[in-house]
Amino acid sequence: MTIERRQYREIDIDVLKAEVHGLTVLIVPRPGFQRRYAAFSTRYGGNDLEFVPRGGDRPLRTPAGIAHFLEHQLFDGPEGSVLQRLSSLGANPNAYTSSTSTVYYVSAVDGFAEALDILLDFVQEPAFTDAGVAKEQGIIEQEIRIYEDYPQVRVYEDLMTALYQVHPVRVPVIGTVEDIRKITPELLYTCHRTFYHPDNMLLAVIGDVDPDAVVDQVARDLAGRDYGPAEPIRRVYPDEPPAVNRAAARRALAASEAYAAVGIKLTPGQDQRRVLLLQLALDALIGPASAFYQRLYDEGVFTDAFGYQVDVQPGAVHLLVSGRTNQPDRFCAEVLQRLRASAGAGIDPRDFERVRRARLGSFLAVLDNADALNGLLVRDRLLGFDFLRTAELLQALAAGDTAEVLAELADERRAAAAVVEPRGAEQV
Amino acid sequence: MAFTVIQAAPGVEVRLRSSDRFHRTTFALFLEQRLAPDLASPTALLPRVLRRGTVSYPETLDLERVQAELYGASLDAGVLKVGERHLLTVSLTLPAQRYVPEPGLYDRGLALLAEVAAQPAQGPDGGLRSGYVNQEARELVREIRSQRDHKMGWAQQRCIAVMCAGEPYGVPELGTEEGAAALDAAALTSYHARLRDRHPMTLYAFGPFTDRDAVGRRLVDLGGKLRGPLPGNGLVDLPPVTKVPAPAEPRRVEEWEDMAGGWLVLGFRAGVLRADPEYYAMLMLSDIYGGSSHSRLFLNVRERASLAYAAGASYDANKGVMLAVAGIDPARRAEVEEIMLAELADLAAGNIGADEFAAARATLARRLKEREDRPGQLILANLVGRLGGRVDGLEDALRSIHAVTPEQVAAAAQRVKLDTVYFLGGRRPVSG
Repeated sequence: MTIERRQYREIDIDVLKAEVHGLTVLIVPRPGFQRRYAAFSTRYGGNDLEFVPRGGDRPLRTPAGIAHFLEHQLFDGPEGSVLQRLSSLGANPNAYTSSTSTVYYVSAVDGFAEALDILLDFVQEPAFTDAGVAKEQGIIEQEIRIYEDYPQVRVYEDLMTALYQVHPVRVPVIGTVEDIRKITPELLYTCHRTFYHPDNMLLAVIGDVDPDAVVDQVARDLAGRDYGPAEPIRRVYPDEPPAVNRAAARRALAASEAYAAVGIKLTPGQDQRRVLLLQLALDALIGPASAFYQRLYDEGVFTDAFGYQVDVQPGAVHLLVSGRTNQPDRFCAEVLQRLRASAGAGIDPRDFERVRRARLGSFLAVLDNADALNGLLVRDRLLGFDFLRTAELLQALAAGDTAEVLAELADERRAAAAVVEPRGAEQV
Repeated sequence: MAFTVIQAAPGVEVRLRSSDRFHRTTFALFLEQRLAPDLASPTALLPRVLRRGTVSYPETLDLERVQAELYGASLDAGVLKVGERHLLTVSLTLPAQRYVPEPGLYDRGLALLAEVAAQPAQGPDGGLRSGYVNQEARELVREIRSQRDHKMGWAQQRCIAVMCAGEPYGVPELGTEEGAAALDAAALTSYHARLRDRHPMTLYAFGPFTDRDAVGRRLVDLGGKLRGPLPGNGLVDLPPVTKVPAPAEPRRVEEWEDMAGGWLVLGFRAGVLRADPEYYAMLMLSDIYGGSSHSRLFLNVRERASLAYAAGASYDANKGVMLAVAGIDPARRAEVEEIMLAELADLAAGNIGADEFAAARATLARRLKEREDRPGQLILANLVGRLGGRVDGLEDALRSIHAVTPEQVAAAAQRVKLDTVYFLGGRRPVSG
């Protein structure tokens, strides 16, 4: 098995890469760290609702929430609860499902090899039953209800539905109670067969490990499994028009005050450099080191609960600004106005230099955190980015470069705002 | 490797540790106060005001900008409730010096940290700026109110308030709305001076230091500047934690909000503190009962009965309180409560399986070892341990965990007494 080594000298990190029976294995050795971390991910998430099943010829439409449901169900392996077996070793297992991926991960100090074996096995060996599905419906219904009470979650969901007309990112990853009741063992098997092929997956191992031993272990695990040849997965993503579904969404919920979220839909297929430029532009325009942020904080429109991000997915790219506020309409209007005005005004080079340095600092912070690093490695593999080149890319950017990304922010048809008001305040 | 401890000034300790594994460096200052109804609001408000500006950077925008210039130095000031102590913290994390072209990064960062802690932006009278104090008092009130938006945390906080009413532990970490509203710049300025003059302080540093001794000297120098000579009455005496038994009959409180789900919280008196010999047995118990995915609560409330998405338990050894919590369908709360109590009773009866016992032991060992990779957590663990009267090194702690027997875990479970059953339930209006 050939192992490629890529050195990132400026940050003292090496990444080893191997293709093992079709599975990409990335190893980031961290000598001296106690924690050994492995994440087994598939490129299958909340967005993948319609696809041609492996071996089939016609698209299949599946209920919302099924990727997340499958994630829960895999933990009930043929040999009993996987969570229990892993935690019996002292290992710490968990998983999450995003719009684009499902990630199963485990951390351990001692017994890492055994934990890795269990991880590889349970993800590849489904045992779906009617009883298991019924039990999981009960648990996930509770999970759905819990999130219904969180204004921060609702405002995000509402914004996605407002921004997107047809792209499945508009549907919550967790689904609704009605959706998940439609899930059957047969459907789960179809999804598993289609998306849990090594060719569609990534294994990342971070920590003080022997890379050759890890690759050998993975090769032994996969050698006996007959996946058949890789074939490209045909996902059906409808073409999302540039314009938003609707410009505003509003609901009331029990909350201490309002929660607002603003989004701007961008052209899909942005490259890594442009995404970095967008992040820097947001830092400079509306981040805590901007005069804009401080003015609105002083006026009580922004609070400590404020954040923004650039979200990049296949077929869906948008930026998001959200926060708790007592003036939700002004929150949305000011943010949109600020972002639109920047298209003409550009970014002050001193502001740019400052946020460029700050981004370098936060990039370095991720390197010591295996969970965060893995999340970015997974995201970047989907998109063809290389997160570890961030420092190198940052060095090459200048304030003037932001002009190319700012232009897109001015298009009013691409923006939407969502507000969750405290219940009882609708009439005010 | 343990922290090197240096006494920088009376009641000011410097704790330093170095490891070249990391890409970032952490500095953190802690001031200790007791948790008390009349002190909680000023303790909670002060860090909010301190992070607004310093004598060199009086405007918040300038303070934010200098952090960005220092390669994303992350400056934070806040409060922490640890047992019955209220801690004011100012922390700063910076990239490791070797990865940035700017020399003297740590010196500049430390100078900034010290200014934030000791030389805040001044108003015309030399005190704290009243504009910042008034605005941050309003923001603190909003933050207090927003805690209700996080239902699980809110239910746990309410359970503690009910269970420990009248005890320092019942005082909320952020103080009260009334307390915040009543503060002005003059009151907060003199409170800041009192804290600096007479309260214990610790300055932690953990990072990839190439010249440890030089960093140590710099920290000692800085620690000395944080406090003048002690006044005649010396350092304040912070009282020991109050020990309160559970009532004969558990308190029962239910509260209703406009929400869909429900949260059941059982408040227990664990009867064991961090410094007690039974501490490690209690840690094992709390893990077997509700610590991880092999725990009784996870397996029985969530997996077997399919009643909850979230179910677990936590133990605060600095107070001797254990909380068990489950996010549930409000209609099935009686059933959930019964299971939660029955599982604890079963452990107290000595029915502890070899598997769950081994799993808890392995889990606690892993957590302790993993903490070595996380400077922020390690610093906090050291501080919390000192406040609770037990700071065991990694090897000692691992040995102690391995020495715990199932009988000791059962004995620990027998000491745990139910004090309060708190339920936060949803009554969502039909319209709306």
